[in-house]
Amino acid sequence: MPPSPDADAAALPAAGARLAVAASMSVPASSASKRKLGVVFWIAVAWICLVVVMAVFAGLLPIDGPDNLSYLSKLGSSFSHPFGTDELGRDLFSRVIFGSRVSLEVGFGSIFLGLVAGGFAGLIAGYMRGIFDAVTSAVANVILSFPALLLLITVAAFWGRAWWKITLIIAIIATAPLFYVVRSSTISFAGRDFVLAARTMGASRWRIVTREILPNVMPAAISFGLIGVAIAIVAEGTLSFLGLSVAAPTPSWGNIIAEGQSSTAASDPWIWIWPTLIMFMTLLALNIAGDRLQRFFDVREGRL
Amino acid sequence: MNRLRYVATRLGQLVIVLLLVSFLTFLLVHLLPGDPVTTILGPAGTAQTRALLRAQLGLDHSIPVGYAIWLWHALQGNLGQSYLSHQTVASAISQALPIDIELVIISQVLALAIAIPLAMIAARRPGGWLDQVGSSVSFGMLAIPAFVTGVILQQLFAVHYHVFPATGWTSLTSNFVQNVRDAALPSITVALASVAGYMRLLRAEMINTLQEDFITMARSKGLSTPRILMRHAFRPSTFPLLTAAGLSIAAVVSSDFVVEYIFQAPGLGYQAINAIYARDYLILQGDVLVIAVLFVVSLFVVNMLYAVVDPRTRRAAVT
Amino acid sequence: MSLLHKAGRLAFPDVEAPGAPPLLEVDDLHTSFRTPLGLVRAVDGVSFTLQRGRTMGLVGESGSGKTVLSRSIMGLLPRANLERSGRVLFSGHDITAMRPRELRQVWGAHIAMVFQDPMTALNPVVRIGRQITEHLRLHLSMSRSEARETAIALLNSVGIPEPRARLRSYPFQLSGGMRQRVMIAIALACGPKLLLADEPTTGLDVTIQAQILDLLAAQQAERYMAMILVTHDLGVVAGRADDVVVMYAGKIVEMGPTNALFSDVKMPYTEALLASIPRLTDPVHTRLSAIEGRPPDLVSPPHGCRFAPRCRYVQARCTEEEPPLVEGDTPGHLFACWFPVGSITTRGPRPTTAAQSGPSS
Repeated sequence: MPPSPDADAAALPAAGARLAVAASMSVPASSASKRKLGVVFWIAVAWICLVVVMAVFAGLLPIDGPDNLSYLSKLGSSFSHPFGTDELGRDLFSRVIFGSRVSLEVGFGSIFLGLVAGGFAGLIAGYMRGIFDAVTSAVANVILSFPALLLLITVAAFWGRAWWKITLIIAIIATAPLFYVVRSSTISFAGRDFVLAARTMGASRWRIVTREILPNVMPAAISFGLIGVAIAIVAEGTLSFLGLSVAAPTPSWGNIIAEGQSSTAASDPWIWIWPTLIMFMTLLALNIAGDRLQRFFDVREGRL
Repeated sequence: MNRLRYVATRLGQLVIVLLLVSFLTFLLVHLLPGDPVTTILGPAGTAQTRALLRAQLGLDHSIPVGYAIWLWHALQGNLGQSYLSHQTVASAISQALPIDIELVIISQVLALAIAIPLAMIAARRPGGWLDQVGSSVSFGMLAIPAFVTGVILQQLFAVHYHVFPATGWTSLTSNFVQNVRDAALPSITVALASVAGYMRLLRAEMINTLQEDFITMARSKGLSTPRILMRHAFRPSTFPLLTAAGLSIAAVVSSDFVVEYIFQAPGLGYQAINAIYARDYLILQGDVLVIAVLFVVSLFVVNMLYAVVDPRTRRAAVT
Repeated sequence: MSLLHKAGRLAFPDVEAPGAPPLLEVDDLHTSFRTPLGLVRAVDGVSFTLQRGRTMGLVGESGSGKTVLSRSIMGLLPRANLERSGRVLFSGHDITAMRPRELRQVWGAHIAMVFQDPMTALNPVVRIGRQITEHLRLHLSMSRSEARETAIALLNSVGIPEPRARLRSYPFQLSGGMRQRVMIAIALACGPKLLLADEPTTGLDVTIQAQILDLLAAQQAERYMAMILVTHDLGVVAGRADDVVVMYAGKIVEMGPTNALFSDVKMPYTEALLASIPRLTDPVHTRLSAIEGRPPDLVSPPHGCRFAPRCRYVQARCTEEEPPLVEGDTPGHLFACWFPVGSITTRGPRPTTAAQSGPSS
């Protein structure tokens, strides 16, 4: 609640009337519901955590190795094989879990790197402005002018397909939009009173940026980052699907789907439906979590 | 005057970005492990072809000079030739490009035809059940990558129901009906990938517009709701959509690799993927250059269009 | 006007006939908004009548509920989160009971509104011609060329030069005063019987304000319309309105024929509003005598008289009992005050002239 109900209430009649008068067909969704993260957000976060934990501890889980060929091919779901087996007789559940490792490594890894590099540059550019801002903004603008997926595919084709190379390329591409998010957010906070107050108290630039601005910029950066992770996972999945990401025996969501939909498996669609479903849920969870955080912190894309 | 300067600035930026794009494309060959000429030609190349390729790629010189040579060739339409099929890169591109253009046009028209009515229905009552259903569906669609949509559509409508062919392409001029049948699934796949973005953008923009005084004014004139939505709210809301469509078209050109690959539609993307598999690096380099240039140029055109079409931005030119 | 009869899809009795109901009768109108902080009572029990051909000035500070009142009269407020009661009878028809379809037949055709800011109220991407003709064609079933000729005549009558060429203009190509003239032309297009002008001159230069007000007055007289002129400036109303209604915190605090009211202001709030008008005779740098304090919280308004917390003459009774709106000595002059101006001596200096506060530093 606002500290002074009196002051707030005085502003209200005019604001309330304006709101009501301005809205035409209908009043927008009530602002009260915007300030809650809601159950859906926590379900999404729980799913993301579950997927990450399963990927990290995949080796310790009581499941078969992803390359174990000792089963009949194309088994249906059962207790010992929740997702059944693929056409080579490998346990699909195990492959989907081990396959998530590549997707998550590339997805979170590239966005983490992009966030560190882009965020750092964005903080400095947004706070210092001047020549540094001009140069970094121009560089970011050039990166944004490239068709991202094309860049990813060709560089991977010319340079090599190790997961860290793919992570690095996506990280470079992701740096530009994340830079802009952090930069514009920094600019809007740098002019606020609490920053001016800290400056008048003689705080150093470093202290102001790390203690005053960074905590305020984090929500925007993280909520955009979550959506970025989803985009990065799709990019890696696309490469894997085309066979241009990690090499064949290592499972990844993209290559499991690609193998599953090949003509030999067409009679048993579950081989590609299971990994597709898990990937869909994960992407949905990332998008929802990012979107709810944006609304919770009232981050507006239009401002960026 | 202002507008002229704006166009000039934009043109300058366009030229700089194009130079950078072409430079990076040129550098790609240098990323190849070992000697690029050996990698490209394989052990089979004769001394003569090796020397020719070396000159073509500008490898005899330092990188800046080499780039200048390569760019000079490229500007004349000489991007070398495939050392597998012996087809020139330029002719390979001119065969593939019309397919991309057709796919982009059909898919984006389709996407807008789906997204615009849905967005208008959703924006009419924000938070209402239609809006909530719409936004849930658009969220779901954002979480389905194009390669998944492609696989699902192919399995469903080609493998299971045989409504459309699973793969292949017939050119528009040789058999129109067959061309439409071949284009259907890839176009729908690309369209579905664009719908959610358009829908969310237009919905947000419409909701903002519907709060404007001029909408209340239009209501006070006794106009019907459909008329207000169409005549007064839709047009001011479409300008961001135009930018998005431009971005999306640019993105489609560069991301329809997967879709063309799944449906074996021999556009630039399909050609590039096959070039990667076959290590036909010059074809790949040419495709990359063309796609990147198309991307950059379409962004530029959209920015220009935006300035011309929206009467509000014309103010600068008048006053 | 003959156009009116063509428009009359809803049957409105001839207001000129003897025994016909008044053009506009507002009866105990309440309009409230549901907000997260509670129910905002923007209009709280307002009643008045308006005859055809009369101009009523509706005056109050921002937040006094005058804009909400004018939109409630039209039924133009969005229905979500809205609570309302009371009646608005337009030629005997209750607007509050009309369905959207019926309302749309009234809007534009019988009641029209001039908005405050023509820059935001005119659609920036629709040509002026279409903005004038679209409801002509809708309500009066005009053909394209008829509507066009009517639009040219309208633009001409509101004083726009080269009206034919202007039809193809976009709003941003006109000056502020011209835009407001266009908006008036739009409002007048279908020959409404009632014109609601919501702060029609607030966004304009002082020199243009007078022109626009004169234009409105001239059109009002020529067409024998009723007009409600909503403003925060008593000076605007002084020479132009037949009656004045002063609103404070959602209620009418004083109303009456303009001359009677101005010659004998009863309500301290009206007095304060009058004092806040800058005068040309004031010395340069005279501090504007704005009313101290803010309009009250409309979720839980103060007990007793709502103006009491800001009133110079406040007495114990004012904070205990709410004064009713009653007629004083002059017939038709009503006010809601226990201790009208002049009945008691003040504790502070009387704010009769702005100059009293003295030059500012």
